Amino acid sequence: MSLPKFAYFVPATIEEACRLLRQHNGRAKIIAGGTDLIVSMRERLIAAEYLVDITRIPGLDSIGHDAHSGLNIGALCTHGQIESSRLIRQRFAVLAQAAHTIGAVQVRNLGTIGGNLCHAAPSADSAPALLALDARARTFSLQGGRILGLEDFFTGPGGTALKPDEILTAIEVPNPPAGYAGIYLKHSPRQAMDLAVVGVAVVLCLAEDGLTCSDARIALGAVAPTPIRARQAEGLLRGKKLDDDVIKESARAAAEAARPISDIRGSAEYRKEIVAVLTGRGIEQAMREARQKVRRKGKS
Amino acid sequence: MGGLSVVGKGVARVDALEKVTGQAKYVMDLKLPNMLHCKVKRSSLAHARLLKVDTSRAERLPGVKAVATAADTPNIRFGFYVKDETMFAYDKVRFIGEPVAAVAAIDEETAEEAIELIKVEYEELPAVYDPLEALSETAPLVHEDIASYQAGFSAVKYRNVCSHTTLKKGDVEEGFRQSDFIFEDTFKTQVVHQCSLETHPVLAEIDGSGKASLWGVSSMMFPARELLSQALGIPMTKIRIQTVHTGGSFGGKVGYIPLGICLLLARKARRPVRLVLTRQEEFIGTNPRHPSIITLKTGVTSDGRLVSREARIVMDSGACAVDGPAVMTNTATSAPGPYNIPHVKVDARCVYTNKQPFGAFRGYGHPQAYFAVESQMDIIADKLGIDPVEFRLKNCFEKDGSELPTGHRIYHCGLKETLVRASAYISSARPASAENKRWRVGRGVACMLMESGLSGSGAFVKVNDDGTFTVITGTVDVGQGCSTVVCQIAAEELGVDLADISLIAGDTDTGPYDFGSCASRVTRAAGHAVRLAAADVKKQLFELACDRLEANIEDLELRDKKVSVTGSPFKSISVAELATMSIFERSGPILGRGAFLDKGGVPLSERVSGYAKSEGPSLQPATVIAEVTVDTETGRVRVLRCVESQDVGRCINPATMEGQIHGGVVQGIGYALTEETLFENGRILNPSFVDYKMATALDTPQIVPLIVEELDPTGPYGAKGAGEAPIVPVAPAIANAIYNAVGVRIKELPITGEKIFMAMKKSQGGKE
Repeated sequence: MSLPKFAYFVPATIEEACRLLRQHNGRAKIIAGGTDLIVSMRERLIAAEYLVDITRIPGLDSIGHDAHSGLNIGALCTHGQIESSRLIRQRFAVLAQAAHTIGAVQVRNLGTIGGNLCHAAPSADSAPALLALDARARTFSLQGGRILGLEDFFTGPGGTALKPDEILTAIEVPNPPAGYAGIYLKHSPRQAMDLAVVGVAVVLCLAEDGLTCSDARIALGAVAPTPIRARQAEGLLRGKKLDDDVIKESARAAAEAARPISDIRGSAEYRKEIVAVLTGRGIEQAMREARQKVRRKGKS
Repeated sequence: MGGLSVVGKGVARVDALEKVTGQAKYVMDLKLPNMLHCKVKRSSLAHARLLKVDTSRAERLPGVKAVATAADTPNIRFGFYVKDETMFAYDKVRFIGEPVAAVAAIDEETAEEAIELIKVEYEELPAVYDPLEALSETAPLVHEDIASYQAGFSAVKYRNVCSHTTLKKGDVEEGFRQSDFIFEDTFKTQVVHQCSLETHPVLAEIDGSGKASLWGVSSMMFPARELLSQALGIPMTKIRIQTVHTGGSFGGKVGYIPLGICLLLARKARRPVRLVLTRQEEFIGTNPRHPSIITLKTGVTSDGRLVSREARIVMDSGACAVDGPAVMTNTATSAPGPYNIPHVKVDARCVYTNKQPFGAFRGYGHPQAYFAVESQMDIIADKLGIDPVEFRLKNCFEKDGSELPTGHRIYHCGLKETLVRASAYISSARPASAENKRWRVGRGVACMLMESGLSGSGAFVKVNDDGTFTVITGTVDVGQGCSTVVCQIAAEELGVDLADISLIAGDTDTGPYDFGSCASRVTRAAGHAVRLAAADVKKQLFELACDRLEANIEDLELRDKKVSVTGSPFKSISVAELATMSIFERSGPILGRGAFLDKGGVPLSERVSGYAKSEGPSLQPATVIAEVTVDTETGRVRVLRCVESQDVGRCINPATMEGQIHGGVVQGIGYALTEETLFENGRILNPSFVDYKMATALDTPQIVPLIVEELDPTGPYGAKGAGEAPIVPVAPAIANAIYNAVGVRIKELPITGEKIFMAMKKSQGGKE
């Protein structure tokens, strides 16, 4: 189907963008990369009479970092920018891994992290990684900005806590403790160009003994109405020596936290099983990496 | 290569340069002045009586120039095998997506808007989606008037059964009594799409004399023209079909309904009309591969000889027969596989359901049959403790004179060589290894045999004034490279460079009859016709030259655009001179004629009932050995390597042939593991590439093509057809490799990770 007719605005400032959103309350949509929106409009899944293109607003497409406040990713940063950023690959590798699994090169060069989060698909690959990194969403509106924890940002499939005239401007990721390791694992039928049947992000830290888990965060994608944290599974790791039994128990708890549906991509039963498998593997891989970091630190 | 200079070389495609530089014109690139855009109104119900189609609001919409419905067509049912199709639904709709009306408007948006304004009143009827249910005595009838439908063969038509094929040889019951073991397994295959890069496009224009020109993609232009002529009551020669560059067919680009719809609208609007199907329309409204249910009961002796096989096949035809009867006959006659089995009995039924009509797709009934046959071969070999390759070699047909269950004898068949070549390669190759202990590696083999090159082709070769040659053929290059192959054959026969051959093809007005680009037939059939036409030209040139050169015809040779006397290279005359001489002093322009007729084929014997084609003796045998790795915790499969050896007879162009194997393997991996159209109450749940999953470049394994050349004297330079075989053994080889890796046997395609996972869980549960 062809695109329905719509009016198209290209505001130069964020204030102007917010004014346009408010003026066309509920009938306007923000467009950045358009990789989700255009497809949804063609298929008549999303109706929008007005599109507000925010890509010309300066300052929303950079990646910054400082020792105090951590990582700051502009909402207009593309998945391609994120997967190839040296800073992110070195210090927030789990996010680079997640960005790398999205679509194909062409999609990653167009699609933005802000769009990925605001589209709020339960299977969005960047979401579990960011949840596990305890990221926050920074927004702007004419009433003032907000900072939302990412868990509060998602409200349901396709739904976010953003008000109609509020714009996601950046993702803030606090500096994780030294020696942490993170991993994103995705289960899909193909090696590329595929949506997650299950996505699991594991972030963990080991104590100086290289065995005891000092902190852990686990997040799951595509197995609930929103991307979720598996807190009970995390709790089972903290303060424990990570042996096979502990890992297995935590993986089971993650599967229990999942509330998947059965659809054409997989049954609920299979998805739960895959959550357990990927969580277990994620913990093992993160643990191995974290252990190397502890050892390197010990040597230096 | 016995002194061949152009044939047997992997020369670049004749159209490579224009394609890679983006100069090649496809139908979507064609625009005519005042051209209108067409959109099709499709049925939203799977089965309903059509009470009223109200197009008045659409007709009043500014920008709409014509609306067509069944009222604009003669109410004639047409079809290749059973005459059960119509351009537009008129009494009932029989599947979701069936054309009900179509609109031509000044742009696509207006046409889409007009489609929404067409109001269709339906009276919904109970529908039937499952072919087994459709067989019951109480199932709703998809075609109430089936008994009155004409068919091109003695069809058994009963309730929802649109054709019934049986095959009998020996006495299966006696065979089972002689067997030490009897195996019975049921296999299911799914609906998969051709997924050509280019969707169906058509551009139609009617000239002042009422002649219709259709630019479209039709892999079978001449049969399509005949069908359109019947369906619309237009004399055949008032329709001209021209095929420009085509982005793939794989059997799917038959396209006579889009051609007919555009023609009707162009006639009504008196303006050119273009229709380009969307990807969604491709998924819901064209003719993908038939799903099937195949039960094989096989008796075998303890030393591994196949004795008896009984096969029951139910093939879902969808709402119309289309290619069903012929596809099903292929499945039925392939049910014994390429093996000597003394006792065979096959019962196959092709059944109407309220789903889109299924059609031709590379392999044409063989992928379904061979998934079942070659999976069961491994089940048996495993039980008997025999090596799978040895088991096949022990039972498979000999090269010469073996009798197929249908009664035909086979000749020049390199099936055993393909098995031997593939297994020799794999035994000397470095074994595949698993990433880590969670992954297990497995290897599986499958082989197959199918015929190629049926029906007729004609060709002309013209001598140009400058001594070059023009080949005129009715064949169509749908992207597989046959333009290059026929030019290579002409160049070889005429002793010139490829650059001295030009080609006129893909036009029903200029070309001689050609059945089409299907059934792996172009190289063998059109290629043979071109070779004979070139030989005819050569003969005419020699007749003209012999007086001038004062030599016998037998002593002449044609090379480098010169006719010369063998052994006296200075005694020669140029082709250009001979061409001019012929025009001004002799009988006129030199035109050679050639034809391929399927004379070698004899009708299938009386062992077969139902639709029975004549079967040519040219066979395309192939073997695949697949290596996979399976994630034991998730069931996820990765294909690591596919070795495919195929007997192609003389390989005219090795580069193009290897491309066929590469493509067949990738398409076969999709069939085996991920591709499937999912239906819910007749509605397709995944009509887009988001959830219809073809293998990507990253899912593609190492592919090793091995070409066997067992020459077939009935084809040009000994060539056979070769386009379809590559896909056929891939899925069973992968299924067998998965079993080899993790010990679970999945009998339903596609073999998804979830199916493997659940089967592993069940088998572990059984052990505990």
